[in-house]
Amino acid sequence: MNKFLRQISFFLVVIIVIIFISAYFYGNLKNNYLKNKNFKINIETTTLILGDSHSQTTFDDKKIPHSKNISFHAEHYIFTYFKLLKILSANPQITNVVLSFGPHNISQGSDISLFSSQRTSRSFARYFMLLDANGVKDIYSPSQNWRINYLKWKYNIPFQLKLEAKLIIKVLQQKEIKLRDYPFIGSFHSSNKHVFKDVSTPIKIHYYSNGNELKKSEIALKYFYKIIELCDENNIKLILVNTPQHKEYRNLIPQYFVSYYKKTVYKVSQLYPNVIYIDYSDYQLSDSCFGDYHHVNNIGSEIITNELLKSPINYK
Amino acid sequence: MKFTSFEFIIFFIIVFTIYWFVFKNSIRKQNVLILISSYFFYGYWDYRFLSLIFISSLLDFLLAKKMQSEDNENRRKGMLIISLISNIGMLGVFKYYNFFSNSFNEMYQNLFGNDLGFVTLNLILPIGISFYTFQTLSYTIDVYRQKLKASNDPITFFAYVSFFPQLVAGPIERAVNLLPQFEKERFFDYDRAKDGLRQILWGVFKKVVIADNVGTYVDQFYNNPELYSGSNLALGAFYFAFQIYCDFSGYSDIAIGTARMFGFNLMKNFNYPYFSRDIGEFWRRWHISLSTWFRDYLYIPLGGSKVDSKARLFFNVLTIFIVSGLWHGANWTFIVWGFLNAMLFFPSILTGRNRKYLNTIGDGNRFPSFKEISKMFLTFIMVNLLWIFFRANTVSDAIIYISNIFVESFFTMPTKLGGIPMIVLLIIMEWRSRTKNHALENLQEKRFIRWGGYISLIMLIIIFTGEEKVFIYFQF
Repeated sequence: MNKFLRQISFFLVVIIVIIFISAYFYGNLKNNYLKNKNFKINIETTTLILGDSHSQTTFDDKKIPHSKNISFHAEHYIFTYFKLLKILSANPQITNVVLSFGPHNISQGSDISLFSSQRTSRSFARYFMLLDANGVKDIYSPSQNWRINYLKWKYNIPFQLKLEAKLIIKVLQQKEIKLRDYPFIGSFHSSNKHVFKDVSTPIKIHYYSNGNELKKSEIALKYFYKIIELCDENNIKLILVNTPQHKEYRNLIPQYFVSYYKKTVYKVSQLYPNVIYIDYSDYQLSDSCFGDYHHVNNIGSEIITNELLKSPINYK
Repeated sequence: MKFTSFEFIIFFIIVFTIYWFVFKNSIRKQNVLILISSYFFYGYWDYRFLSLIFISSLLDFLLAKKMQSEDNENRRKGMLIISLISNIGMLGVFKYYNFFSNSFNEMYQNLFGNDLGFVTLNLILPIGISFYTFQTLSYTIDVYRQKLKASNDPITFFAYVSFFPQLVAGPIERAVNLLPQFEKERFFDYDRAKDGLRQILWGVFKKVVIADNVGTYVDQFYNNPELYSGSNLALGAFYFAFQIYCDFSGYSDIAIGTARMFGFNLMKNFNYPYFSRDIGEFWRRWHISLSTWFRDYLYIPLGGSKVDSKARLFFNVLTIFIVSGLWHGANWTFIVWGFLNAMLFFPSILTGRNRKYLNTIGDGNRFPSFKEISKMFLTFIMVNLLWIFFRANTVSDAIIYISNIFVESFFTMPTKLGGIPMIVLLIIMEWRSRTKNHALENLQEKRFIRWGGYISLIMLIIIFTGEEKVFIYFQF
């Protein structure tokens, strides 16, 4: 037994030393790839398109002058906020932000990516490098995955390397890091698919849990207003867009969310008159324009992108 | 309490310390400690589960004792029947009642337009119920067959049934093997403990680095197969084969390694099943404790392969595979999976070639021959296709998944290749050690190379941890 304990203790000491050394080196690598200069985008880009899969599938940034679509599917507003914060600090030329904003964005359904034990780790791993202490506190969940990721975040223990591999390799090779190398940077997603499978599935995901109707998400609302304030402070024109939804989906959105959403839109218009709100949710699109019940496909995207171009936004 | 949790590490250190330092001179105290800690381990999920395992253990303990002292064969048989009915009854109510009730209602409704009015029960499926039920069943059947003496010590017997390393997902230990180990004095053995730790390390690696990692891709592919190319769906099926293998065999490795740390030897549950050359060999290497259980307590009593007619043989094979499928879960997907396995297995048993490959593939050689690789590949493809039924939510989902694989885009490059490097590492490590109990057993390399390997595995576990999924076999 003594021999066993001696060996184990020695092995543990070696492991701890190695973890400390790797944490030191990893911390340096992380600081390097998080340098502001790496977040610089083309100086001519003045419009950022942000949000979840709704803006990702709707707005073709190739057709919108001086714009860049960096939306990422299932992105919660807390992550959008930190992403925007980081990019704005490196890109003072940004004058417009287009943000997808639908009732599902302020439902507790959107919190699944933050608090469900399965999804927490995925989004934490993707966005951890952007978060500050308050952000990490806000996404606290009593799961083991959260605890492990928190420890990794706090003590610079290597995270999910598959998401960071490109960044680390570029730092080691002293190559230039591009914005698209970051795991949280998405892009316009064009799809020619048209699959109407089951309208109740997205409705359940967005607005129900175990058959019970969900409530508004406090954390989504908190960061929604923080995004508005961030844009306000930086004199950026914020354009909130409710992207098209199929009428079968729209009709199933619980009344609570329909009215709370309307109230929020009204409140924003009162508190922040500079914010533009555009509602395409009931835009008359044929079925063939939809990828599924709540996303447009490439045909729908072309129509809505053209519509956005007609709106009173200065893209220069 | 999951093996891969902080709680388990603390729990393990406390129990290990008391077991070897405080109670090292008393088997009885060690058994009491195992019993208490096992009930704590199990109750940590949900304390309500404890009543079931307690009732099951108590019933079988009393019935076996009574059976032993009884000379009248009919009464002995009656006691066995009581044990079978109560154990299978509990399993049936908690695991299968809703499935059969829904299925009969649906069938009746399709035939006659109205349902039978069977209600569904709002029951939680107790974790590991299928495992410990089969373990206690083996005990009473063996006592009935007079292969084993009934235990006189309730502490020993209850500790055997609830032994925490293998309680929730096996290996399903026979009383003949495990119970006597509770009755003997246990000594701390440095080499055994060291090997136990290595096996635990390998098991955690398989679970955290491979199963949980590829499981993320598997979920994406299976949840929305219509969104992915045929090549990606084929990759998804490939990933699931490794997810389920690494998840379950990883758990078994941790269980066996943990038991070794306490001086117990559990049976081998997986013997590198994907290195099999035909379906018969696969089933001798996959979930061995369950396959042999069904062989000894179902297949052989039915007559096994020593029956007069081919129809009867077919019935026996079909029964064992269908029941095995049903054991995995109350869903038609598992029944279809069992049925298809029987269809694949039956020709080999009919031609007497089911025990053709009893040796280890590439025995004595570093690499397999081309012929062996071809057979291994073909077997893997067949097993892989059947796993789709096992993973899909419904039989029609499985058919949609398969039909979406074999389309034009099957010949495009898959995009989600992130799980491949670790699977390659697994295959290399397991191929090297295919004659051993686990990949890290008895490594001959120099110490610094061995330690380098262990440290690399630990670092990989640290990097990959945080995306953990529940062990798949817990649901069974």
